[in-house]
Amino acid sequence: MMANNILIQNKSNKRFDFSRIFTREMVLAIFTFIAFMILYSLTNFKTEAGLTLFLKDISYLLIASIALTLVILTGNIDISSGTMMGLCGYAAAYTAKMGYGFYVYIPVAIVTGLILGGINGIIVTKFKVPSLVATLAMVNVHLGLFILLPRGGWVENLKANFTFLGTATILNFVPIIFIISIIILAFFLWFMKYSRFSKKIYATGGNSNGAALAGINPDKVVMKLFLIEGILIGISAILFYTSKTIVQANSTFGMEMLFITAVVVGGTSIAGGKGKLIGTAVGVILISIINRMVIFFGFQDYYSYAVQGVIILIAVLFTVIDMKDIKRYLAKIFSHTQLTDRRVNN
Amino acid sequence: MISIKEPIKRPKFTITYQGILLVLLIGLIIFFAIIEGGDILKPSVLFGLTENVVEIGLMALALTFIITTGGIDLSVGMIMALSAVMLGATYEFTNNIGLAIVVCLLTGLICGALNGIIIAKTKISPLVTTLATMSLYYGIAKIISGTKIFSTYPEGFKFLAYKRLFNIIPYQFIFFIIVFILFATFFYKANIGRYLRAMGLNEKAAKFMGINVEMVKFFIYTLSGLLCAVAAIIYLSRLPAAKPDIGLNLNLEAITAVVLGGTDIMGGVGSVNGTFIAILVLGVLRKGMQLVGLGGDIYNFILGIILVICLIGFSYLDRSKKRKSEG
Repeated sequence: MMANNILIQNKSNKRFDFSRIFTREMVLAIFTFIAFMILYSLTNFKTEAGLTLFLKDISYLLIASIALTLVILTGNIDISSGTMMGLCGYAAAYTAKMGYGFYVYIPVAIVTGLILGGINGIIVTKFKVPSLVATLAMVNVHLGLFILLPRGGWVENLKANFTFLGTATILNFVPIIFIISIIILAFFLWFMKYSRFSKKIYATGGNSNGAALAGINPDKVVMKLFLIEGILIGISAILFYTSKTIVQANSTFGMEMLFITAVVVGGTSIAGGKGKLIGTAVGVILISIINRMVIFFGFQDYYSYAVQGVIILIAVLFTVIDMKDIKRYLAKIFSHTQLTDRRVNN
Repeated sequence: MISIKEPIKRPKFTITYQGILLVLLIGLIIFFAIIEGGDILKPSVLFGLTENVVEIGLMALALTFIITTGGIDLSVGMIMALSAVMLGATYEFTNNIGLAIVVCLLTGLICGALNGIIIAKTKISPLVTTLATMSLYYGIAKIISGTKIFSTYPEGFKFLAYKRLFNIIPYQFIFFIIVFILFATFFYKANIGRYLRAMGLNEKAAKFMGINVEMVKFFIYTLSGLLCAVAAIIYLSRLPAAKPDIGLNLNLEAITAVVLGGTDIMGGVGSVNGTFIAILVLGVLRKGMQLVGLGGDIYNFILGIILVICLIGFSYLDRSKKRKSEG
């Protein structure tokens, strides 16, 4: 049912359809803009260094959150994405330490992500293990792997061949990794709007049995998405770690909660089949702004945990309250004023 | 179909998942006894295994109830951490351990009740709710403690952790057994157990059957919060250092125990007995690996592998059972 709402769009052309503009994503964007303006006007955020740091934060979070959005849209979840990112980053850093250039270590990170995502996908689709527990088990496996890695999962003293990607900027303040992430976001926005596969994603998430009856193989869709997620997590690991000279594989443990927060705040339903990628993008920006705000206003960074929790609850309450009621109310006011206008004209 | 009420006539011997788990437990003990030279078979060592799993055990028992209804509670570790921090802070300010314990239990109760109200009254999924409250409680615990670690407690407070009945059985394990028996009675003999399974199978049907679904949900999440506070007290009596980070990985471990025990994460099928055996398996595994001389992170690795194998095996058992019932 939810998938139907998205698949079959209402194409009635009214004079001014208020409900079309007043979407969840729009509301979220307005909130984000207000938060951004507060941050921009009150703090020293407007310095170029501050902006660069902010854009760097957004870029890796954006890619990882896109990855999780795709998985969550099918009704699955990946808790191991944080530790997966650590392993991808470690693999890349280890190859970079051996002296290879970016044309080697980026594929290494992506292939690592592909393998780990593939393992998750096989456990979920072939063995019919619910993704929540399957990836939970994989978190434990990854955590154990960190210790088995050479040098305990640490790579230190990384040279310029690894860090140039994370430190390079255009116009002195736009990091290259941010531009990479925007390109990937644009590709996936196009992909989710026009590709046939994206309809299969929504169908699988909305009603897996119904999708199977309609000729879609849900297992195949889920497997493909876990592989895509692996690739994206690999890229995200590159974006995250290349701005550092030390790669510590377990430093991303727990980050999966941040990704899931961004996805949920962006309006994607955890039950699957409902949500938009642009919402996730706005959610990522909102969360990074709030984390920045907490630090800029002089609180310790641990306040951001509490704030984040409250934000998830408020954002999700927003979905539960049902935007339709608010829309209907506003539309009623709007149509009423239009009516009165016409009477005056006549 | 899975019948909610168990049939009166049972076959004499059936291979159940819990039976396999029990064999695994005995096998592990024998394995470590052979490798390590029989030290593990001494009663004091054998019961000492249970010392560091009681906290996770208490959480896992409450989680068994929650997961049987198809919900989940990711915030258990953080409720425990927040309760522990509250206990430490209250004792630091008032020097009154009784008051501190009451505050600790109240904190757990309120945290659990907050989860319960949100999940029962609004339609937010338990996963998202407890994800949010997890970071909320972690943040509050961090705000209260700052960089401080509350580590001064009266001598009598260590009673639970270090005193043993006849110098063999730790008192905390006896407490755990009592809680387990209570839970098992509720789960297998009382109405509430049947309600939980009915809700896990089909919540709407359970509602039309006349079960007060919202009340049951509120009850189990509050119970989970309370047990987390109790776990905090036991943890502090063993390791007197209250800081927020103690709860970081506990939710994963507690869920691991529940799933290892054979409770279906999708709800509807639960086993308190299985959870109990799984807790003992975890205890034997951890202590045995300590005795052999392997660190805590290898434990995570092996735990993960065992969990994957158990899940795959469980899904096969489930599938063959379904095939049988379909004819």
